[in-house]
Amino acid sequence: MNVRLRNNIVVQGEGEMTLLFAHGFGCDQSMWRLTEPAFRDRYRTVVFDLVGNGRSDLASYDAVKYASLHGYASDVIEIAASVADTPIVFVGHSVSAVIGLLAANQVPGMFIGQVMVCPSPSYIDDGDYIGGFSQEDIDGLLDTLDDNYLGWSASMAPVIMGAPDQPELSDELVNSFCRTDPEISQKFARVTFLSDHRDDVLKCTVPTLILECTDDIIAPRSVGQFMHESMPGSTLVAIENVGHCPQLSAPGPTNAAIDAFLAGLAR
Amino acid sequence: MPPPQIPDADALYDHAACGLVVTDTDGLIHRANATFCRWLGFDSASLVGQRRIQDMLTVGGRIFHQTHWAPMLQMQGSIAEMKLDILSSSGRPMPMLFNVIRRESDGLVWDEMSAMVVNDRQAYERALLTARNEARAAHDRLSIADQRKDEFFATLAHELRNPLAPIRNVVEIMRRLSSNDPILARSCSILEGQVVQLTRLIDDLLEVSRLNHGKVNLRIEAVSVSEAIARALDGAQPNIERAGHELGYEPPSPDLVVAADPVRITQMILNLLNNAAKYTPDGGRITIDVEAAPDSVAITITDTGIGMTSDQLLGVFDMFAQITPGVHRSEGGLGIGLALVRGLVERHGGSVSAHSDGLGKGSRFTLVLPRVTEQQGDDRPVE
Repeated sequence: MNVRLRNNIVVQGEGEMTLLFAHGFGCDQSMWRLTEPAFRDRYRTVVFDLVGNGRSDLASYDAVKYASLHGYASDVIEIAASVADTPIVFVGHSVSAVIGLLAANQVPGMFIGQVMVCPSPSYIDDGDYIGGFSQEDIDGLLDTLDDNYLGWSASMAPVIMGAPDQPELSDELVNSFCRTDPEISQKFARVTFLSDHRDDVLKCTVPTLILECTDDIIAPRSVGQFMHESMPGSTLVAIENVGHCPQLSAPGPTNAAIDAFLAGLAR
Repeated sequence: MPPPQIPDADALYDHAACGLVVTDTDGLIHRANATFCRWLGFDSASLVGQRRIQDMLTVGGRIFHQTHWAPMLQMQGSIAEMKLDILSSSGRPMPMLFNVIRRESDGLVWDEMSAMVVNDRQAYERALLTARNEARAAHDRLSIADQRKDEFFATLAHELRNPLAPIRNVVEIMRRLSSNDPILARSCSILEGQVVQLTRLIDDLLEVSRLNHGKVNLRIEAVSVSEAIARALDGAQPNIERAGHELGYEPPSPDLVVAADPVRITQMILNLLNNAAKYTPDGGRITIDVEAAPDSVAITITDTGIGMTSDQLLGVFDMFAQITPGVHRSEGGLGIGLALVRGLVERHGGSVSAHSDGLGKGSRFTLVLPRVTEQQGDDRPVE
């Protein structure tokens, strides 16, 4: 399978550096709609859909391969190899921050820097570590996913993508984003929320910017602190924001923080 | 006394048949109607300006709110039919279905949402999910049982086949020794016939098991259609003649060529001819027609036999289709002949179809195989 088709890769812009944006659990590359355009005039930008999400090739979903985040990391390695001839900075949201970390640990030197947007290496509380959730909480999420077959027809028809720039569509109550095959979504939720990659964080050698939100139930500030302390030399920036997707609800400060980090890398 | 009046907009809002809530983009509740408050056991004052909608969710729901609700609302400006458990004042989760619209005016942005309690719907959907999961588990169990059955058939066929060779040898010896004894000679020929029949049945079984395991290797080459039909007719002729059927067949002129395994194409046509002979009462008519399309050749075998109902037609190529109450059993057979034909023709990239106007109205089977034209003939890929 062609990697570009498999992951619905979109490459734009030109520049001395390539920014590789990876979306998190729940949605697709449209999560970067307020971020990526702000960089494509100065950098080469790459957005893509994780397999099983958005307009990725659903037929490429392999339950065994994607039963761990390493499966997604191997895709990231292939994507990086297929698109970049300039140094790459990986920008990963949520679970994809960890996916990028695994890829970077596997192929040292692949990324010259990484931006982790609301990352968490482990979501379940464990002793002194406060991930924020219990196993029962995650089971509750899986039940909620069962209750919301947002993409139940996506496996039968091509994924409908909305037109975010057409406000007239917003009054039509149709879920056009975040549509995924419900079963894949369930499996991805398990892999995301039940994995523990705290040891992998310790192995990180890539210059890292950690962006955390001031009020984020999924990646609480205790986790941001843990990440920061586990990665010597990393930069931790808190974005004043309620929620887990600052690139959508606080794009200004998010983009500014990424800009500052990239400027530091260039020096 | 003033005439009764429909309540004003405020009263309609407050006592609507659904919960109506207005929040800011962070989820903080700015208005909640009486219905919403009553359902959940809150008074308005304890919600408005006090709670965010996401704080009223279960923890799993709050994660979902962050991974789906918030980004979808931001990106598409609305949410349709999202179901979340809202915690009532007593902490009891209450399943609710939300529609949300994000509004904007003069730089002020807010979210308007309606909520319906969906206890019954939730129970129904959970039951559906459970049923689906159980069906999947049953399907998995059946698949394993099916695989074991295939393995059993393969072993059985091998075990049954082994004694046949020595039996055939003994019959041959007996036949040579019995030249002077007409009763023994006749017994030998009956034995011989039965051994041939047994061998054919067991070969079919083995073949099906090989097909099921993808172990049938085809030797695809350019095959003359008229030669393939002639070889099949050689095999079917005794059955056709014994039943006194009339045969209608004109070899195609000029001859046509298909991409096929020469042994398998004969086997498929022979199976269809034997079937036609078997399921047509004595003295019937069997015709073979050959028709060419640019990319394919269709070989159609029509009989004036017992025909099939539309139900029988549906499963006619399924394994053991013949083992159906009411269908002739006297002629023997395992009911795998047509399944074999389908399995083989599909491996050729062709197809087989069946048609009947009903019981007593005969049947028509059409075998379609990839055609080889003269230009292609020499460089046809061999599988």
